[in-house]
Amino acid sequence: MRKLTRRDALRQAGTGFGIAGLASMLSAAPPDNPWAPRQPHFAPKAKHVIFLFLNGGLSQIDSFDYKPKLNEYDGKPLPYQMPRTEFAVGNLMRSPFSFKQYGQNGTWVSELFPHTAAIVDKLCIIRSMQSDIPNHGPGMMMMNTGNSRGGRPSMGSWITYGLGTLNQNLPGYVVLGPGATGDGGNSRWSSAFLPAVYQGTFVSDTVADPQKQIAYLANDRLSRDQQRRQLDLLNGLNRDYIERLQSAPELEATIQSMETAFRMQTEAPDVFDTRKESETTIARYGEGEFARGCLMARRMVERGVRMVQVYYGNSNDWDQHADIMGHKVHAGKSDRAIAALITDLEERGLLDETLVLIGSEFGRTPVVNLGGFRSVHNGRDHNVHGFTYLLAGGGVKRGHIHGSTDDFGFKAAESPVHVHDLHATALHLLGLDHEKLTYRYSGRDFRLTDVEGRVVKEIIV
Amino acid sequence: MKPLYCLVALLGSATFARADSEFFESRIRPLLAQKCYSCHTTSKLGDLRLDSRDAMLKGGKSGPVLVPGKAEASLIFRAVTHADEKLKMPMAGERLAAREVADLRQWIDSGAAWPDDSRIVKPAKAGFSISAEQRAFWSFQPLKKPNLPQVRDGGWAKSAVDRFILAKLEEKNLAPAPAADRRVLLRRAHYDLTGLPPTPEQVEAFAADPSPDAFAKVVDRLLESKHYGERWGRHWLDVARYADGGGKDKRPVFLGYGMARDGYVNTWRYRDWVIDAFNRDMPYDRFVKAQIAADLMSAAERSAMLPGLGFFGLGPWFTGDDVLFVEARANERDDKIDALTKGFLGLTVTCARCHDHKYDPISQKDYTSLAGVFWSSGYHEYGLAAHDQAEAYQKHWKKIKDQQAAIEAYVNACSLSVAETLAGQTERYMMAGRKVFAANPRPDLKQFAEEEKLDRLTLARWVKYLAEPNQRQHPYLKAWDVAMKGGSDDEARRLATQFQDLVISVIAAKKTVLADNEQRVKSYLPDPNEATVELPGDLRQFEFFQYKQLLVQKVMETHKHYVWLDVVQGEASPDYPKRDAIFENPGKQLLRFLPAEQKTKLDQMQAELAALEKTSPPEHPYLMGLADNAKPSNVKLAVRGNVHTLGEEVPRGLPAILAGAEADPQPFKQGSGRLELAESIVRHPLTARVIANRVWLHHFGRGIVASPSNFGVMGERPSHPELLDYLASRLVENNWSLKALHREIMLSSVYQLSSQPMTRQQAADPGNVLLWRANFRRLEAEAIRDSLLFVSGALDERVGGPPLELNAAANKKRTVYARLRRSGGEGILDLFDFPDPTLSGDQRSVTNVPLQGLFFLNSDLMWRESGRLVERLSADAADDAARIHRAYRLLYGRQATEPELRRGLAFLSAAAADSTEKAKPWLQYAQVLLSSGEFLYLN
Repeated sequence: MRKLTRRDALRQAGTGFGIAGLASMLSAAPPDNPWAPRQPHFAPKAKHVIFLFLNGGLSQIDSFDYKPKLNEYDGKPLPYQMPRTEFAVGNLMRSPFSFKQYGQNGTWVSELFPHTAAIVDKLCIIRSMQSDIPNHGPGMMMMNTGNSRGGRPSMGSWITYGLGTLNQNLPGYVVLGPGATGDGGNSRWSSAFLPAVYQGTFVSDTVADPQKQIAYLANDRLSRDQQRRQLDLLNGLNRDYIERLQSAPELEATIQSMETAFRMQTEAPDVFDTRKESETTIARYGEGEFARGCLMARRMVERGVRMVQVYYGNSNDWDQHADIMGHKVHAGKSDRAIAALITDLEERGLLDETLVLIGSEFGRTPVVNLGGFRSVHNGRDHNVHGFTYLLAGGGVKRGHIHGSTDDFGFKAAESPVHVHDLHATALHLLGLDHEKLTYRYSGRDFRLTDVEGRVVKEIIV
Repeated sequence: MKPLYCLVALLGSATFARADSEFFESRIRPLLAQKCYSCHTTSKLGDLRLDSRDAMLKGGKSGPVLVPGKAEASLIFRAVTHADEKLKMPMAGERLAAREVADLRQWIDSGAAWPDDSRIVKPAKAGFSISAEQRAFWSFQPLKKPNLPQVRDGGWAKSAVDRFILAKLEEKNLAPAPAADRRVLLRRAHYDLTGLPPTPEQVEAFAADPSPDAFAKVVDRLLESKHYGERWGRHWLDVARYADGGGKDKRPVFLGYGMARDGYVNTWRYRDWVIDAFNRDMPYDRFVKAQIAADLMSAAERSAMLPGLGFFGLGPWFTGDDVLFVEARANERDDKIDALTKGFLGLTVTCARCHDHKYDPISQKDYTSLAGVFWSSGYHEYGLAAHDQAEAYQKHWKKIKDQQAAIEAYVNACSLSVAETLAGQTERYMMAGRKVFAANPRPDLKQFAEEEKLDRLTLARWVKYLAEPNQRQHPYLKAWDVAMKGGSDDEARRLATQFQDLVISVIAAKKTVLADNEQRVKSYLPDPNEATVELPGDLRQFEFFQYKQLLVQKVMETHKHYVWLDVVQGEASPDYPKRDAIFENPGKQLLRFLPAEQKTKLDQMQAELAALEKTSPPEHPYLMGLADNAKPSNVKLAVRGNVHTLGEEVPRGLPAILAGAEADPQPFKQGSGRLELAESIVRHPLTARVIANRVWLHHFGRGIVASPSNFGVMGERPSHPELLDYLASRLVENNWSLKALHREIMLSSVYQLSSQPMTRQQAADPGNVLLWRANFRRLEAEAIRDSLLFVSGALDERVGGPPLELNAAANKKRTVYARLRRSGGEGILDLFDFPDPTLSGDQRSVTNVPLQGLFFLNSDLMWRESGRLVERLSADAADDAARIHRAYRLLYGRQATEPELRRGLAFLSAAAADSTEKAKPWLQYAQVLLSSGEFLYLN
């Protein structure tokens, strides 16, 4: 059994954080509080991250990457060698959705996302994203942990490991969604070999009642006064024990975390309870769990939670292999909430310090999906060669478009951004150098970005 | 300056005598390798390399470090003798011993001869070779049982182990802490060996036993306990990354093939074999060998050892969406190499997956040679039942499956004929719907349906469907939508008839499509490209996904499919949110349409199924392991780790550094090579060192090597290298008996120290690396839960068996028997630092977060066990004071003090003032006692 001691922390800091991190840990952090806020490597642009995950695979060519050439080539073969896909695929297929230009730059957005289109000037759109393996499990692991096999710490774990969190009465990294069993399971927010304190805390957004959302949060057997009396007795017992042992810093820390737990019982239900918002605000986000998740995310960031991830579904809802028209349903449940979240953050002065990431594990092919026992051939397969991510706030440019795909929206053409680059950039915006944020495990200094990663400076203000 | 150095260097190498060479090779090269090379070869800390004479002369940031002939003037000598305040080397780790300093002085003073510089590996791209320095690295050296060091305090050092510990303490002039008191010691021994606290009776018996071997008797008793294997088996299961199931992605075991198994049913046989191996003190070398190659062991041993193959058999087998990908196969191999080399050897060989290891002498070729071994060993199930029993089960199981399929087919046929009937009434329903909309007020549907002689539910669905044109994605009812509100009856009827014809034609078309696709699946021949993708072992049976991925089915035209979805049969997929179609009548709903004879037939079929299920024999047991492929084959080197860019084929064999040979090691000759691999591993000194260190770790909370699965350059150096070799040698001497090793360790003085802090020692060695006292340790997740159940009297102490749901109230067995999923989410386990079972674990971290506090405050488990504890106390003792004393003895192994008693009584009376029926004062009090540090920590 190995204790994560202050000494270990410092040693890790020595390899991981450089001098600035070391100094701050020496001065500010109480010895056994791994959640204590820490100084980044350099001045950050963002303090928080909200990651809206549209699991299944948002089709770029039916949403934010307009390709008029597809109309011309509809039903014709792809004029170059077919890149790797998951299933058997066929000819090119035009988007069934109509596109219009929005915002100051006349950015094309499809009819699926009218509300998001209306705030397109606040967005930074990366149209040249790339990943490695066109399957949900590996893709999900790649986007969340930088490794398609899993067994690596998630981005949120790295971030809380690097920066701690700003509210000690709440978990530093919260994951919201209708369920935790979709492709990738809990390993999407696992801390892997980082200490377990840095794993994401999953909270269901299917119910509005916070008492039902977090494990062990509620106690219907004892009143607050009764628990206070228990805690006083417990503190007394522990202090006596420390006195007999003459010294036990571990136990001192336990006394502290019991007190925090006691306070958390009040604070957590408050932050998760969207029913405390005004009717206007609730209406603005729209209905359903994803909308509730987005609103909960804002409430958490407001109270100092470092990273919040909101999963759209508990299965691969955006996975329209058979019929792309299914995107209409899912866009209908998310478009309003996305726009509302960004606008709401901005109105509250939080957008500048909050990096919002919106996207999937990969995009979709411009060619029609044929394999996989489909009832119709009106859908698209998985595409890791070129897809779109939306970013906002946290120091990224507004109304900016980065990179492009080819004429058919299949492969990244200009300025490709690999998942590793996206991770490197997100860490950079938080003031972390992705090459320096390391953890020594099993003889190697591991990073979120493995041995890759380039900060996409072009999108940073 | 430079030419001069070259000259000196030339002279140096030209004039060295044979004696110099021997001195260098025996004294200096190993010294440099062990003390300097973790930082000063390729890592070049301070821009300095020390792996050649030239490099030393060139020096680093602080200038040249070697002045041949002048030790006192050489920076390297000044650094290791701490002559300058600013430069003291080695930076991490201990100062050089006096003898080492003397050697270094002699070497430099006599001209710093460096024989045969050409042998030093240049980090050239040309190839990989192992330098003499790398070979001299401490952990690769042969095991030598060291002499016992001399110590001053012979009275304290009662065992050989103590001599090694005390010698280091005396070097620093540190005295060990006093011995622990008997209660503390007994508790420590109980948790260390069984993971459970002692009973009050055991505490008293030990306190009252004056014999000098009282503690030895305790250790023997605990080593004989069946709980010993549960405790130490679990330590090994961390290393073996054991879990019962995969969740969705982190399999193993998403075994979607063959049988009606969920893939979890037999995992526990490996877990129980491990527990039993510890309990029976199976020699560790056999234990290792069984887990790698039990199937290839002698006939006499084979059957008892086979379950050990679960070490690999339970590893990930990617049989889901990614089954086709060669990446999946490569990942399976990588997992096995990782668990093998970290677990048994303390080497991080998988660092060499994409390139030669950056620090350790392990090449990518070495990695690939091991990959071939596992590529040639596929997943295999070893049946444990007699052949006819297994066959009987499989036959019966097939009958059940066939019957289920027959029922499904019959229901589908009935549903379709019902749909055909209803399709023929489409016009009537639509016209009736039109009437409903026209009527003001709306008629009562039930009554209206009766009047019209229509099915009420079907009519209701039609009405809803006709009322929501925006929900439809097909264009066929656009004209009708106009006619429904205005238009003439005739026009409406014409359009309704038109739609009726369409629905009938859609059903006919769908039937053709379904029949056609059935044929396509049956006659599907794999694409030649698919045939090249091999699946491991028994998983060859899993072929479904292959053709599913590539077979192109016939489909209906999209808009017609929308009609099918809306009217005939819905579909649950990400593409279409599930809703019941108008004609869809799942389950019992269908019965109202069926004629009597069809109903009878369906009832009959279902009764037959129920009978079959009732008479099914239990599933025959089997083991999940490995077996050699019929044709073992090598793996090609994946250039930069990319499995699509292949380089040379590498023969299956042992990594060169382990083979110990200068030249390339001999390739394995027998089958996959697993048996040869196992035998080589057992012979290698790392194996004994690594396990001896793991045993030490779990007794002291810190290994002699603090990185228990990494004995390489980037791992930690041993704090007591000679002690480690002593323990490893003793292990081998005692026929690899781990119980003998426990005994030797626990009967030492150092094991029996108290955890008392001491000022001077604290200042000199704050991390307690030298073990001047016992470490203060929190119980692990399993020990916390098991102890709660144990003191409350609820623990079911039976050993072994299939996994139980951890959080089920009825599960009172030890936590080691809980069902473990690789997807996590097991409450108390996740909360208290249970390791991620996707990876081979080395040691657990101990974190402290508020969520743990919430567990103590609010969890059902805490409340339930508090309640049971209170019941137990009420039965044991008559009044509050006696119960408090009893509680203290059960939980903490001691009487309550007078102030503790008073405080307890005060709490009870305060709690009585506002207690409720379900939260009586004693329950509240018991919960606090069970949450206290004295219960949850070992000192």
